Amino acid sequence: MELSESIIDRLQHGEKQLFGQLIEMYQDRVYGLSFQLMKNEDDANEVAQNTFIKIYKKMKLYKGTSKFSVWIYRIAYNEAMTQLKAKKRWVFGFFDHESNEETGPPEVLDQLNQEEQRNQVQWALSQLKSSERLVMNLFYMEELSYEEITAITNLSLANVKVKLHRSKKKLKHLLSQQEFAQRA
Amino acid sequence: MEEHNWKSLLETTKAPKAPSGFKNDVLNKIEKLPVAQHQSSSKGISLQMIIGIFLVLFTILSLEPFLPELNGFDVFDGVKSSFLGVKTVYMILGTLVFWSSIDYYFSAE
Repeated sequence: MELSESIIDRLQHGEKQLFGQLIEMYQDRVYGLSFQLMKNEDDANEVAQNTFIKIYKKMKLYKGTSKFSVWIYRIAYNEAMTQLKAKKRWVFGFFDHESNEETGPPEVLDQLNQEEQRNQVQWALSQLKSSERLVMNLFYMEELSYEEITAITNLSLANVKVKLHRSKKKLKHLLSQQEFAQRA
Repeated sequence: MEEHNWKSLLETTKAPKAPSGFKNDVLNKIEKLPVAQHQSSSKGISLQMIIGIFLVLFTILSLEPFLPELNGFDVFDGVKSSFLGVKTVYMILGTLVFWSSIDYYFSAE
């Protein structure tokens, strides 16, 4: 779902009171994207807030050549990357955001239920790299094209396709492992 | 796994939502943002400053015939000769105002 062109146009012409509508429409998506990259709530909140402040400042620069959401994701992605780089500098490179959390698979319950399934998928997703998870979400959840993902992440088209293929393969493998563990 | 199943698989996970009060926090921060400096150029040269200098020099040169010499020293001759004549002064100031206007226009964003 996108903000209507007329509201975007009115925002660009200085009707700042409409900015609340923009935040309401995109806050969960921007926060979600920030959380995938930052991996913790405080940082994700900071990145998401800074993203909206930048959108406010740069509103007039949106030319309408891409979807509005793609433009917003691009700003959010850049903001997250800036913060990650700053954090890496702060801890002299020891902090690796691409490394996966070494968490064990969720406990196998006797009865399969929706919550358990959700936990399993979440665990499997947490085993992917941030960039792989982001590409998957943008492609399947936000239904963006390869080209749009390329515009947001600055990755090459081939790289986006490879990441998507690799993450699906990893997820299949992780989920089948869990299924096997449950049957055993 | 079928392509369409990936979406439903991802949908089973609980997507993190923005914390409550997020919108107000952002709006409060925006409220506190400093007002844009519309009249200043990105290179730090203010349009008003240049116009101000232009007006001061214009006033001095216009009043020249009405003001007495200061202790025998002709201030205005000194000013004029240092700028190689009044026309040159106007040309320099005009160029600065023009450049500053262009600079201001492109740095307004």
